[in-house]
Order: sequence, then structure tokens, then C-alpha cells
Amino acid sequence: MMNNLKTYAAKIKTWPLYAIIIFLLLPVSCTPYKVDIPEIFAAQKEGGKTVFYSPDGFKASIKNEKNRPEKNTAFWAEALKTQLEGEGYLIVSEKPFTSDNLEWVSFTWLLPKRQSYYKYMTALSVRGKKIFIMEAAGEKDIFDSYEKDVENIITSIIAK
Amino acid sequence: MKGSRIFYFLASALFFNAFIPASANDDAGRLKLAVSIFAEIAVSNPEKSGENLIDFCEASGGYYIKKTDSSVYLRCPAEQKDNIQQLLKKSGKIIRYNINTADTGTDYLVLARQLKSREKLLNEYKQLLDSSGFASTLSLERELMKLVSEIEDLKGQLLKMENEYRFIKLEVNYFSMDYGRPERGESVFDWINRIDFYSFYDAGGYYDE
Repeated sequence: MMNNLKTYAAKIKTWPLYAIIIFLLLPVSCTPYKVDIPEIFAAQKEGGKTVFYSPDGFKASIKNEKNRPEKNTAFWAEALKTQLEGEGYLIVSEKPFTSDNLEWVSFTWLLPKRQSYYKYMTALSVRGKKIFIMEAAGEKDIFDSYEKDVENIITSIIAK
Repeated sequence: MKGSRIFYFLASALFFNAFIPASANDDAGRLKLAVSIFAEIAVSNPEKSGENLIDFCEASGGYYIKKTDSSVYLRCPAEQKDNIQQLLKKSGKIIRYNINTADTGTDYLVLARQLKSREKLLNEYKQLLDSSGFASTLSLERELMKLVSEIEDLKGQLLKMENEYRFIKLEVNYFSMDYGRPERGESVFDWINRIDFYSFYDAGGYYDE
């Protein structure tokens, strides 16, 4: 009886250790996608979101949202486009991209900010119950200089 | 007898004309570039900027095809290419500036050669017409009509190409620089409301969010 109690107490003592290990591993394993981010960017993972920065003010992120109600890429792309156009965003280009298992639709927008013009890219792709979203923005000329890198990053994203 | 002679003449004339070499006057070796420019520019006054561009184009010998409040379609003399770029740069912030060039010099030479050989053939037909009998005249006339139509078609194509070499095709879309920060509207889909340039770009920084 006493021995059983000791074993039980020992198990309780090791619980926090397991919890800490699980907690530490959680952010690493919970991104539902794989992506190759070039070394020129400083990347940071926050839960299911990956944010990366260039040294000169370009910023991009990859995240996912629930595909609820469950619709396809074309539907959500149209919904997003309608919304942003309705808010006055100026569309500069609309492009499709294909990665290993994702079909993307991307929009690039032009917006004013602090006496300058910025480009903002929104790309999305639906797979099952998830909507994968990539956003990227930067002052127009800076954005243009990273446009090819952004395209390479989109086409490298693989849904797990 | 006379009819068959004419037939052989026509056949041989067509055959040999196909092999007439391009002469030195055919502009052989000269680069024939058709240039088209597409630009998007943010300016303070799109209408005024469009009018300025039209004025410049017309003053330098060009002409405009179409104008709306926010865009212009023009034909500007090819030698003004650099000046157009300077003018567009000065007028506002260039968002996009694409130049496309197509070298259609070979096509032009082929057409010019075809025209020359057909014109030569036409003269030969005319000479033959004077000495032909009634039956032959009818068939010659048919050939002449066909040849004239071909010559007109070739001349039209060449004129169109020459116009493309002489004038740059210019399309400019203007955006107003005065438009302010877009109004934030609500979407019925929650995640779409989280897509916003200003909150995305301004949110935190590295290891700060």
C-alpha cells in the first residue's frame, strides 16, 4: 500500500516535466505547412504563423485559417478581392501559383502610407479544412526587389 | 495556240518571280522594331497628366487613340521613347513601366519582296494584255484583278508595319495620388476582416508581436 503511494507520488512529480516537454515541442510541430525561407530573411515562428523580415523593411507572413464554411480557393479569393476592392485597395496584379500540393491565387495591391506607396500581396490556397494565407508588404520599390523571392516562397509551401 | 503561250508565260513568270532576290533597296539588315509601352503611374491629377502627355505627343508628331479620365492610348514618334519615359517619371510615381519590342524586320522584308515581284509581274501582264486575243484577255484580266488585290493587301500590311516602326504604341493608366487610406469595411467572414495591410505591416516587429 505504502509502495503504491510512493510510485504514484513519483509519477505526479514527473508530470510537470512531461508537460514542459510537450509545451516546448508544440510550437515546432503545429505549423500545418512546410516552407523554404531564404537566408536573406529573418524568420520567426509563432504558433501556426511564420513571419519573416528583410533588413530593409519588407515583411511577409504565412498563416492558416479555418475553411469554414468549407469553400474552395476560387470562392475565398473572390471574397477577399471583393472585400479589399470595396475598401478602396488598388489592385496591381492577380496571379495564380502552384506549389507541390497547393493551388494559389495571389493579389498585389497598391496603398498609400506616409507620403509613399506600398505594395501588399495577399495569396491564399485552400486544402481540406484549412485556408493557407500568405501576406507580404513593403514600400513599392523594396517590394519589387523581393517579388521573385516571394514567388519562390509561395511555390515552396507544402501543406502537411 | 496563243492562249497556251500566255498560260506558259504566266506559269513561268510566277515561278521565276518567287526567286527574285531582295535588292539592296529592301532595307536589308536594318533593324525594324515595333515598340509598345505600358505604364501605370500615381499622379496628383490623372486627367491633367493625361492631357499633358497628349499635348507632348501631338506636338512631337504623334496622335491619340483614346482617352478616359484615368487612362490614355497614344501613338508617339519612336524617336521620343526616352523623352516619354522622362515625362512619365516627372509626372508622378511610376508603379509599372513595361517596354515590349518586336523585331519584325524579316517579315517586313519578305512582304516587301513579295510586293516587288508582284508589281513586276503586273507590268508584264499589262504588256501581254496589249498583244492578247479576246479569250486570253479574259483570263489575263482575271489574273490582273487577283494580282492587284494581292498588291493592295501587301501594301496595306507594309504600311501598317511602317506605322508600327514609326510610332510607339503607348498605354498609360493613371492612379490618383490623393486617395487616402482606404475605409475599413466589415466582411461577413471573420478571417477576411483580419486581412489588412495597415494592421499587418504596422503590427510589431521581430520577436515583438
